[in-house]
Amino acid sequence: MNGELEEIREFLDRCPDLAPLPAASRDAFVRRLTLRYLREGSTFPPENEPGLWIVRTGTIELRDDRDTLRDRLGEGDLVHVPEAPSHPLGPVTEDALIYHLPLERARELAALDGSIAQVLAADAQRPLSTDGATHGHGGDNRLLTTPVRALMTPHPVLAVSTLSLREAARLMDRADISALLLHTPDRPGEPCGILTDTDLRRAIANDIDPETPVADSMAHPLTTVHRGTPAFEALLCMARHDIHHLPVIREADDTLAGILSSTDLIRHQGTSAVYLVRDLRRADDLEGLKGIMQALPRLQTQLVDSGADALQITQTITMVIDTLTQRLIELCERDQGSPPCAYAWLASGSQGRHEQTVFTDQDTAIIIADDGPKGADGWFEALARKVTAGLDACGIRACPGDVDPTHPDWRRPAADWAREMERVLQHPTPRDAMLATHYLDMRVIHGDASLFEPLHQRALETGARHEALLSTLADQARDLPPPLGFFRQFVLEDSGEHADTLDLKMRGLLPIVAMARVFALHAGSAARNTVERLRAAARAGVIHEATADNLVDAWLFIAGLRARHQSSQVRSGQAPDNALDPAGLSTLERSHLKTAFRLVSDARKTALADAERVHG
Amino acid sequence: MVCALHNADWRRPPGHWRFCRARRRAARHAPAGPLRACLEAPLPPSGQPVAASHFLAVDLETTGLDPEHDRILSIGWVAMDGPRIDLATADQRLVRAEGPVPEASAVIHRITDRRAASGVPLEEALDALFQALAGRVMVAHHAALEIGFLEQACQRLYGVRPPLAIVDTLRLAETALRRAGQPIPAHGLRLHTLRARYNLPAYRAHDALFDAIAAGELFAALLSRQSPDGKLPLGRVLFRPAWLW
Repeated sequence: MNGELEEIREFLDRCPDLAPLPAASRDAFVRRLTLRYLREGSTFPPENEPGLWIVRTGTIELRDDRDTLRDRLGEGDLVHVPEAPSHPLGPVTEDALIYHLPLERARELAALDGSIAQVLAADAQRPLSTDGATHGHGGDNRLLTTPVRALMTPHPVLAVSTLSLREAARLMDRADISALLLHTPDRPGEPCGILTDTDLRRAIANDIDPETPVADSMAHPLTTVHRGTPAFEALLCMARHDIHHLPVIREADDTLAGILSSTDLIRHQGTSAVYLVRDLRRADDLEGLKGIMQALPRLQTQLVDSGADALQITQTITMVIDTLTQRLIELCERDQGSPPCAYAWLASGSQGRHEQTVFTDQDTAIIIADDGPKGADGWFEALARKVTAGLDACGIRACPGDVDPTHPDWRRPAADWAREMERVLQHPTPRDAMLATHYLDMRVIHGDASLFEPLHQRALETGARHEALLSTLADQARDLPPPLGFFRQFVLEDSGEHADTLDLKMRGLLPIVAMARVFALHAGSAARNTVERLRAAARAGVIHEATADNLVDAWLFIAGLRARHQSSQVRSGQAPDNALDPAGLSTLERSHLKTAFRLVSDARKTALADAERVHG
Repeated sequence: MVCALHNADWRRPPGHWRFCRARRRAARHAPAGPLRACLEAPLPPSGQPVAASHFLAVDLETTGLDPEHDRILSIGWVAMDGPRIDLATADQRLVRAEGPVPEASAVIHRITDRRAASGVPLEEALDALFQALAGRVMVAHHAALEIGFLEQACQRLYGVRPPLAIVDTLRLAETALRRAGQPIPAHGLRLHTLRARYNLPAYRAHDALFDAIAAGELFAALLSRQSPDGKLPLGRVLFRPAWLW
């Protein structure tokens, strides 16, 4: 009679990496294991022994030849060492009890049941590299990693802006170019404007005399990019400004290095964002917009597959939703007649921070100029209703009663907004914390930016001066604990629709967002984006460079995981959400995720306190 | 006798030749079978490195603490080659009860009368144990209990008290803690308390097999600290039964 190794078997049943092993073979598997105890500070694997290793307790680090941390194995993680390594793979960083399936026993087992091969193969294929997790399905990533300098046309034609239109057209024809850079007579070599085929077409259509100087028809001021800018960012820049040519300048001295056209980019992949934005701009009614927005989940999937990082994905998605919002407002203005006075449409929340994904909702508000005629509010209320309903129809969920311009709290004249923001930022009650975060994350999507920007600037100054607000926000950041339990297992949602999953947004991203907001406020930075806020805070010395790097990495990793999770949901026809089942992650992803949570947890303990001390 | 065992100084060399002589004498008196084979199997020299030595972690579940009056309910064991615990060798025997299982011990071991009745005769259980133990050094937590019960049972069934080479993880841990100058709290030397100290998982207590595995793991943990390279001589970890010297 054999004793029952049920406790060990139960543990192994909880290891997702052993999932391919059928229940019937598990007893045979357990019976072939040996147990090793590795003291903290010893090396792994013991005696450089190959085989399959499963961590029962403790922590083991895997490092590469250059001693760079590649992976961190914790409870339930396994690693397959297919042959005896010439040197240790890494140190044991916490006393560890590990299960070992020696090679010859793995072979025995393979003869009994082929599925063990799957377990071993799955682990062997997993690249032992930190960026391995972010690689998609092998798509062509060139656009994302390649700097603009590789794609641009060098030595662009540069002409003086006193040239006549006809001379400019001849020059472009001879050089066979679609865009001509221009400089002022007194500053040769320094482009001040650009003339494109489109400008020429428009000039002819408007009966402009071909002998007038190009300076009257050229587009200026110029939007430029640096040589080292990733091509993807250039793409975003073009889409945002609705332009097709970007002069490229040298980082060192701001001199002209080349020109990048959208055709240069279209030759590569990843252009669907540009097309999507263009189509939205051309759409003439809500039905049209709805049709186009159905492509949004596909866009995210495509971005994930092409290896875009979380920042690129969220910025692209936000750009599309910004464009949608703008187009809805334009259509509304067309139907309702022009607005009675100046106003601006504001976005807060993830849209305000440029952090949206395909699973998002509305956080918007309206600011109205103080000089509006009596009864002007009716027009804006109608606008708010139409636009929020339009967004909802296009898949951006309305969020009634929250940050919603159909509610008078979120649709105020400028002076009223100024008073309200002063009140919340100077003397915040805990209840106001949520309002304060929304006010700090707001940005203008459409309309007169000069109505809101001074208010935001003043809010920053006010906020940074007031201890009460800073500590309220810091408390808020503390109140969102990352979901790691005492034994560094994930703490999962325990009830509701998403039981046994991790809410990546609530538990993973929002703690970082909340911290970044506090740090940026300390630094007096107007940045809304979390990554930008963290960088700004590091520049201002509010947090250490390393803390900023850690938090940026953590944000990028968790947001990237969320994007991939949603993209796989989209692919399998499910509605995307933020609820991740950690059991579906690879060991590597799980250990990265734990590392990310731990970084957040550490930063929360030290950096927040430091920031408060520096300030105080 | 239990007191004498406690006072033994396990750090002194075990007097290997005397121990072996006692084993040979016991082997001569034992009936043919696994016990005799076990006693006849040569023991490793006491200077042999622990990493190259073979062990068998053993745990007994009993109806009480007194070998004279209490009975063995189950025996669990697992073999260790140096610091490696081999689950392929993990085994246990439930011992068929000769009377009712006292309620107090049934609560602890979850061995009820019905389960106890499904066991094997004590002799069969001991045969299986001694078969596994041949050529190996026994490892147990608070070994005095195991020694007491095994000797009593062997005396009754075979007419000999076998001198068994034993490692006591409780003694080893106690010495390690004292040497490190660490205070030993009340119950600080219990198997489960010590295991937590060495970051070993909590097993459901009082299952002979898992307690044997638990003792083996604790032994591996202690070895990893006392002798990271595994070169420590076996004699240095042996618990020496005092009556032999």
